[in-house]
Amino acid sequence: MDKRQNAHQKQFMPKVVAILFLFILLSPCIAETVLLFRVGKNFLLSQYEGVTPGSFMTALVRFDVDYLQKKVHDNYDFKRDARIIKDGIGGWKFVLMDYFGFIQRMIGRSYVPGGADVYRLENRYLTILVPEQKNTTALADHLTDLNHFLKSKQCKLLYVQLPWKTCKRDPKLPKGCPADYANINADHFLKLIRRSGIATIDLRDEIHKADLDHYSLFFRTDHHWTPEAGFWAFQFLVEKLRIEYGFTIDPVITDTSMYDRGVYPNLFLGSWGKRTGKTYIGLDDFTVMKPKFRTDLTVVSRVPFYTFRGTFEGCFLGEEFLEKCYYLNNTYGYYSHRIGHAIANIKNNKPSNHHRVLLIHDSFSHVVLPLLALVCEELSVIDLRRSMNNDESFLPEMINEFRPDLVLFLYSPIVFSPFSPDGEPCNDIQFFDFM
Amino acid sequence: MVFSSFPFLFVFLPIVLFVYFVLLRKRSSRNIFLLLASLCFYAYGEPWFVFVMIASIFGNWFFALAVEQYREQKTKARFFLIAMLFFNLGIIFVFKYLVFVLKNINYMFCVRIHVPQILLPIGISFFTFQAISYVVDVYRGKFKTKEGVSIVCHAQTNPINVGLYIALFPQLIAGPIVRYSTIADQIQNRRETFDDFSAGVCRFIFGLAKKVLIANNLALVADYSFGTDKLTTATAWLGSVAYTFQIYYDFSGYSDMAIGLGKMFGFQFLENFNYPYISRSITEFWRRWHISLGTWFRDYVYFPLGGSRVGSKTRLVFNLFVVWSLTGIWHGANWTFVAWGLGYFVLLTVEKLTGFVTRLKYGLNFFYTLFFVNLGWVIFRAVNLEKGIEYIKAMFGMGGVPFCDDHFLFWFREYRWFFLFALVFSIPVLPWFRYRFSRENLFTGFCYVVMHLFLLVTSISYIVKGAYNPFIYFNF
Repeated sequence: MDKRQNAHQKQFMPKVVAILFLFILLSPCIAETVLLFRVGKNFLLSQYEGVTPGSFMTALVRFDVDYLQKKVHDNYDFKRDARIIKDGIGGWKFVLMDYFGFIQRMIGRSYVPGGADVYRLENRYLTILVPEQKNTTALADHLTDLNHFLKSKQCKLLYVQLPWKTCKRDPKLPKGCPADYANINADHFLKLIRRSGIATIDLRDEIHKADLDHYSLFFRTDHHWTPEAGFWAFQFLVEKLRIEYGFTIDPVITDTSMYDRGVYPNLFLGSWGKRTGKTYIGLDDFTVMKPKFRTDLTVVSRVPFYTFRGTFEGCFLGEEFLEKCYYLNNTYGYYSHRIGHAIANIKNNKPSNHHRVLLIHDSFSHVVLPLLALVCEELSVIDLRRSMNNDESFLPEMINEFRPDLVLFLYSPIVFSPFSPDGEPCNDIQFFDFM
Repeated sequence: MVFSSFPFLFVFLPIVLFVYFVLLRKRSSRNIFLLLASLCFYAYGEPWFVFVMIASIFGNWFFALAVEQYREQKTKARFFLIAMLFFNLGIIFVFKYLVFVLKNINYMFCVRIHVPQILLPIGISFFTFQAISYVVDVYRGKFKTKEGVSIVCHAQTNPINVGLYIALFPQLIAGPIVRYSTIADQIQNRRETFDDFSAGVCRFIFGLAKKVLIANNLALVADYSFGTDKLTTATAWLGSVAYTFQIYYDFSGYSDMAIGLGKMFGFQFLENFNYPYISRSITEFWRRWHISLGTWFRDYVYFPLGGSRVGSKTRLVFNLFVVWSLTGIWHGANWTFVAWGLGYFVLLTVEKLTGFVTRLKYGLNFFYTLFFVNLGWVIFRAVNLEKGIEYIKAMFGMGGVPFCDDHFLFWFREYRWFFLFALVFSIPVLPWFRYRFSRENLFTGFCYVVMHLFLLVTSISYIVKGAYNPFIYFNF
C-alpha cells in the first residue's frame, strides 16, 4: 500500500469522525431508553402509590400479587406518558426534518417526493397533484340516485363544489410537472350532475366572479383554505339559503364585525409543510374567529359517542390546537376538533328558523360547519369516510330519521381522487358510498 | 432490514456495537454473537427464509468437512463436491428459477404445468455463491494469491465459523461476494483496532451518502422515464443515464457500507468497485464493476473451463458464452438479464478476438464503453425485452416519439444537482484529493470531519423524510 495512503489512514481525523458517528447513533437510543425508564417509573409509582421501589421489588420477588393489587391506582395518565415518548422520539426527528427542508430550499427544489409528493407552486404555495378519476360517471350516478331518493322524501339536495389549492384558471404549477386533475375531475362531475338536474354551486367560479385572489384564500403549507376563506364561503352560502331556500337568518350571524378575530402569526405548519420541513417554505398564520353574540348549542354525537351543551366555543373550538407544536399538532383542527369527523346532530337552542339541514362534508368544511350550525334549527353532520360500520344503507336511514329540509354537500375536489395523498389506492367511492 | 434505515442505524447497529465491543471480549463469544446478530438481521426481513440460510450453513459445513476428509481419495472428494453443487444450486434453482423455467416450458410447449408461488429469499445468490466458494476452496486446498502468497484452506470444524462466513450481516444480502480464502484466517485471527473502526466508519458514511443521497434520488428519475407512456427521446436518455448512475451508486454504496461495517468488526473485505465508468473497454469495465462477482465466475467457471489458454478460438468463444450467460442469469430470472449477459458476451468476444478497442483514439474507446454499458442498463432495467427494445428505440428517436417535452425539463431541473454530483464522483476525484492533501493540518482535518458529518446528517435527514429506498441488488 502507498505510504501516503497508509499515513492517512492512521491519522487523527477519522477517529474524530468515528466518535461523532457513535454519538449520533447512540444518542437517540440512549434518550429513548431513558424515556422508557422514566415512563416505567411513572407507571409504577402512580399505579402503586405508597409503594417504595424497595418494597415493590420485595413483593415482586415474593410474588406478593395481593400486596401489589391493593395499591393499584386508576388514575394513571397514559396519555401524558404516551406523549412523553412520542415527543421524545419525535423531537430529534423534527430537527432533521427542518434540516431536510433547508437543504431542499438551498438546492432550489420545487418537488419533494416521498410518501406524498409535494410540489411548490410558482408563488411558493405547497400542493399535491390529484390523479385523474376515471370513474366519475359512477360517482355522479350515486349522487343522482340519492337525489331521487330525497325527492321522494320532499327533501332538496344542493351540491357545493369547494375550490382546490390550484386555481383552474392559473394553476402556477412548475413547468413540466405532471398534470393536476383536481379541477378537471370536479368539472366533469359537475357537468354530469347538472345534466341530472341536481342543484349546484361552484365556489371556484364564485371566487373568480368576486374578484378574490384565489391563493390568498389558502394556507401556504396545507391544502385547506383559511378560516377567512371559510367565512366568506359561509356568507355566500347563507345568502343562497336565504334567497333560494327561504331560510330566515339573523344578519348578525353573517356580519364579520360580530366576530372577535385574533391572528396567531407563524403558528400553523400544514400537511405539506410537515412533509417538507418548516424551513422549506415557512409557517402559516392562523386566524381565530369567535362570535361576539350569545350562542347556545347542543351536540349529540353518535360517532364518537358524547353529548354536550354549550356555547359555540365550547362545542367546536379546540384551544389545545393553538399550542406551538408544529409537527405534532394540526392547528386546522381548531374549528371542529371534536365534530369535524363525527356523525352528529347539532341543535341550535337559539334558532332564527326551523330548518333542518344534513351536511355531508369533507375536511374543508371544518371552518364552515360550526357557522352553519348557527343558521338552522338542527344541523346533522356526517363525513362519509367514517360512516358507522361502513353500512351502505346508513345514510338513507339517517335521512329517514332526521328528515332534513335540505341535504347539503360541501366537497372539495380531493374527494374524487382514486389515490390517497400518500399514493395508496383508496376506495374512490367512499365519499359517494351512500345508497 | 436495509443499512439505510432507522431500525438498522439506530437500533440494530448501536446494540451490536455495544454488545460486541463492550460486553464481549473472547473471540469465540464475539463470533457467536456476530453470527446470532447476522441471523437476526436476516430474520427481520425474512423470518422463514432464515431457516433456508441455516440449512445452507449446516449443509456446506458438512460438505467442506467431507471434502477435506476425503481429499486424498479424489473420487469421494469429487462426489461430495458435486453433491454440494447440487445442494447449493438446487436451493437457488428452486427459489429463484423454477417459476421462470416452468412458465417458459408452458409457453413454449403449450402445456399447463402448475406454476407454484415461490417467494425469493433476499440475497440468496450472494450467500449461495459464498457457500460454494467455501467448499470449493477447501477442495482445492492449497493455492496462491495474486501477491504470490500460498494459502491453505482448511474446513472449519466449528459450524459457527462457517455460519459467520456465510451469514455475516455486512455482506449477507448484497455482497461483496467474499471468498473464503480471503477471509478464512480473519474469522479466528482478526484484530479489531480503533484505526480500522474509524476507517470503517468513514467508509460506511460514504456508502450511506451514495445510496441515500444519489441513488435513491436518481431512482425517481429512472422510475418516471421507464414508467411513463409519454416518453420522448430526451427523457429516454435522461432516464437511462439516471439508471446508469442509480445502479452504480446503489450497489457501490452498499458495497462501501458492507466493507466499512466489516472493517469495524476487524474484517478486511476486498474492493468491489473501482470507478467502472472511466473504463476504456468492456473488458476493463468488468475488472472495475462488481469485481467480486467477476472474479468468482473467472475463478470458478472460466478458469476450470480453460479460460483464455485454450487451443482454439471456438473453445474460447464457448467459454466466454458460458460465463456471460451464467452472469446474466445470476442477476435474475428474466430474459432481460439473459440478453444483458449475452450482450456482454458479444462485446467481450469481439474485443478479445479483434483488439479493436486498443486502436480507438481521442477518447472514443471511453465513449464506446459508456455507450454500450448505458444501453445494457436499459435492457437490465426494463420489465421485459419488448419494453427494453421500445425504450432503446425511443432513445434514438424511433417509434414516432417526440424529441423533447416539458417533462424532461422538469425532471432535469429538479435533479440537476444530483446528476452533477453523480457525474463528478463517478470519476476518481476523492482519491485525487486524498492523495493531494494527505498531509494533515488543522484546515484539512476540519474539512474532513465537516464533510463526513455533513454527509451523515444529510443522509439521516433523507432517511427521516423516508425517501424511496429498496436496494436494487436485493433481488439477486
